Amino acid sequence: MSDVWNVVIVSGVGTLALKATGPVLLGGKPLPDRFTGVVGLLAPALLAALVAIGTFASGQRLVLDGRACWASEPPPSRSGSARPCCWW
Amino acid sequence: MAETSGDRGFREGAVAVVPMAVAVFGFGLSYGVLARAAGMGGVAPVVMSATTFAGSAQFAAASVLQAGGAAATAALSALMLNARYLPIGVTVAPWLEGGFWSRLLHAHLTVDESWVIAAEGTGRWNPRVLLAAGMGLWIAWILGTLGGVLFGNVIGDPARLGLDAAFPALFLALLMPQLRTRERVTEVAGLRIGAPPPAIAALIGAAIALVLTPFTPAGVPIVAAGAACVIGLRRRR
Repeated sequence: MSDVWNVVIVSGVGTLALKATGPVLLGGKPLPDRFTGVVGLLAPALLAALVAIGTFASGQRLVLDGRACWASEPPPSRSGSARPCCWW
Repeated sequence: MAETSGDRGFREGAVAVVPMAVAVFGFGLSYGVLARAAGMGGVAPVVMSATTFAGSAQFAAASVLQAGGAAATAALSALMLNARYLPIGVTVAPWLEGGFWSRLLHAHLTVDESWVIAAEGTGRWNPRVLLAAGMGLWIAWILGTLGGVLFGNVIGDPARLGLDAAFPALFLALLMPQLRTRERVTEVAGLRIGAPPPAIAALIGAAIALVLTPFTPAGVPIVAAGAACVIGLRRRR
């Protein structure tokens, strides 16, 4: 089984388990407020991390290249051949 | 409880979802192109769209795999992004009817957009609208992914077209609706900050990811960014 299919299966089964916990297992019982407050912040934290990594990371390096201009200067340069204007 | 969950039916749900389904189809196209470019092949992205059925999680998994991250990290990122469906599932649960399979089907078709369309206000949800809207979105997402996978095969290497910059742009588009909240102030470590909790969590998450990038394997900074959610612990008392 390849890595890709492992991801597809684990993600599919896990997501259905998350979605079905309330409707199938809990049957309308509410979750604690503190739990809901914490879980609700996972998505914005991870999405912002994905924006940051996708914009500034090249492998394990942080770079400032054409991808950082995707909002204002299309078309951006390709990451494989990006020439960093600075990196640290 | 159907009699107390609103007057709208399956037909109203199917009509209401059309504009969103068109947008989701376009989103599916871009997922298909990028997933194929990320080395996921042609079949796996379509199967993932039918089963995981969640844009942000699927884009995240593709992004981590493309960066050379481990399968476990990619799957964990996807599941952490979908953790929000646990409380979302709990909100619709009291309004669902039928046995195990019916509830499982409604749960599977519950995504951000169908949840919003099925909301009747004052904490009530309409199961018929949820089913219709969810089915429309599910079909649009799968067809979009299929189109993207086929189209991606024709255009070849997306990096040539600058599509490597599409991932962060898509993640930003997914992040923006998450930042809308009724709460305007965040309390962290005794400080009151004049910004919504999701915005503070987003800033901390991005900072964690960037700090860890030089020192950890691909994908790990994404998972670690989830630690930012602990600021929610002190939010509600």
